[in-house]
Order: sequence, then structure tokens, then C-alpha cells
Amino acid sequence: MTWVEPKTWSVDELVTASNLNTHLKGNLNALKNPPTDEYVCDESNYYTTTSTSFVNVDGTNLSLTITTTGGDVMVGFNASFYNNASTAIHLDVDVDGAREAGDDGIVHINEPAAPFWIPGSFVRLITGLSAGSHTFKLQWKVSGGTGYMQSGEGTANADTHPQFWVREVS
Amino acid sequence: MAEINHNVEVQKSVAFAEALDATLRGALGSEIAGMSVGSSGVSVHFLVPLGGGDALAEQIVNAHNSLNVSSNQSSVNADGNDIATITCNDAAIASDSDVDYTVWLDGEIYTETASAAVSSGLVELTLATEDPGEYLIEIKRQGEGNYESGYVRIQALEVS
Repeated sequence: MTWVEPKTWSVDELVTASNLNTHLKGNLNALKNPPTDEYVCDESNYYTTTSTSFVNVDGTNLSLTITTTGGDVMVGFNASFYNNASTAIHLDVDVDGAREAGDDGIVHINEPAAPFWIPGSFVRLITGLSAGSHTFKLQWKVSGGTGYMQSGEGTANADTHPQFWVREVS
Repeated sequence: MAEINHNVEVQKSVAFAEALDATLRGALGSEIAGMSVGSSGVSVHFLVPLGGGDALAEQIVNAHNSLNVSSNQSSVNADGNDIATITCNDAAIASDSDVDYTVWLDGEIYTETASAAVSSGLVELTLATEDPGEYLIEIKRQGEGNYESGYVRIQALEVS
């Protein structure tokens, strides 16, 4: 059930089952189950990149699509990162083909010295989206060296499972 | 900021991303922003419109880790005396007189690229070290169009 604009009731109007089901039950159900998509990584290898321009981390799995009713969308991501040259890893989100933050992205992760895995995460409220289908892709780049992201690949003490999620929140 | 124009996707398992990236940059230079490895294989990120570089990138990725390289020891003591012998005996280098090799330690270049003589399709290298860590020995063919490479990992164990 998707959200519908609640009916404005009139004085002495007959309350019908249809209206109650649409405007009360239906909307409560829509609020309880908002448009949501998520992916938890459980891959066979680390994700890596040497790209100095933003590229998809995984154009298939870390690409989420929801159909919204025109509200704001909250996007979240968390993972552990490493750069073998102790240089920066940047994260951004591509929304329907355009990067959300632009420039150097949403998050800048920089290791003090290799080789340490450090956490990188963000929660972002995306506004101004029209009602309809929207696709969100996690993107990253490095300023040098090779960036690594744990992906639940099974390496001892590095077998963590990042999650990428989107949900319409208003 | 430079934006990606297109990607060349190749289904390939990558033995060592840094080594593949170095080969791609050596051949394609500023045409690419780099490469990524994910669940669907290798993606080479081009900054320039579709061109001849696409086929070359595909060739390089497909040639990655295609040489048969082995070591007589998977681990050595890092005492300077324990010697591992690395061998590449592969039909792809049968007509080559030299191959390049690079030694990586914990993901960084330990020995810059050097050449080793090939005899009847066989090349042998030795590794003895006093520096503990994970070594990766890369053997790569020389010359334009020869992008075949092979890898073997050797652990050097700290000696107390």
C-alpha cells in the first residue's frame, strides 16, 4: 500500500469503510512499511579501486532502487576501508545518474599510516526528489594508491559485512 | 574534476590489484582514472571517449595472472639465508629472451622492475630476505603487446 494524500473530511459526512481503509488503514500501513531497499555485502573478495575519479563500488549489488511518493530519502552506508598508500578514500552517492554531494563527495577517509583498516560511514538526507522510481549507487575514488573495502569475503579478522540502505522518510 | 566517460568490464579474477593497475597505467597513461575490482570482475575507468584503448585494456586484464609461476617454498625464514626459488616455465615465454620481474612486500614495491634471462622458456629467480612480511613476485613479459603476467606469494617469517 502506498501513501495517499489524506482526505479532508466534511461535517456530517458518512464515514465509509472504503475511506477508512484507504485514508487510515492504508496510510498507516504505508508509514509502517515505507519504500526501502538495502544490501549487505557477502562477497568473495575485497572491493578495490585505483580510480582517481568517482566510480561505482559495485554497479549491480550496491545499486538500490525504490519508488517514492515524492518525500525525502535517507541513505546510509558503513564499511571498513584501507588505502595502501595512506591516501584518501572518498565516498559519494549517485542518484539517478548525478552525484549527490559533488566535488570530493560526502566522506573523506584518510589513514594515518598503513596498514590499518578504519571505519567509514555516512547518513545522508536527500531532498527534492519527485515521486517515482529512483536509483542510488554507492561511489568511491582514491586520491592515490589502492583503496580497499571489506566485503564479508572471509579473511580472518576482516570478515565484516557492510550495509548500504535507502528509505523514504517523509 | 575529471569524470569517467565509460568503463571497460572484464570478468577476471585479479591476483594483485596494484600490479594490474601499474600495467594498465603504463600502457594507457592518462586515458584512464584507474581500475576497480568488484563482484562482477574488473572495471577499467576511462576518462576519454570510446577508442582503441578499450581493446588494449581488455587485452591487459585478460593477460593478468596468465603465466605459470611457482615457488619451491611457500614460506622462508627471514634470516637472509633461507632461499626460495621461483620458477616460470610457460609456453608463452618460450620465444622470449628476457622477462621483467618486480618484488612486492606487503603491497608496496620492494625491488623495482628488473629483467631476468629466459632459457628455453624457463626463468628462475631466488628470494632471500631479512625483512619479514608477505612477498609477491610478479613476472611479466617485456615489449609492446606482451602483457602476460604471473604471480606467486611467499611468506617471510620473522626469526627470533
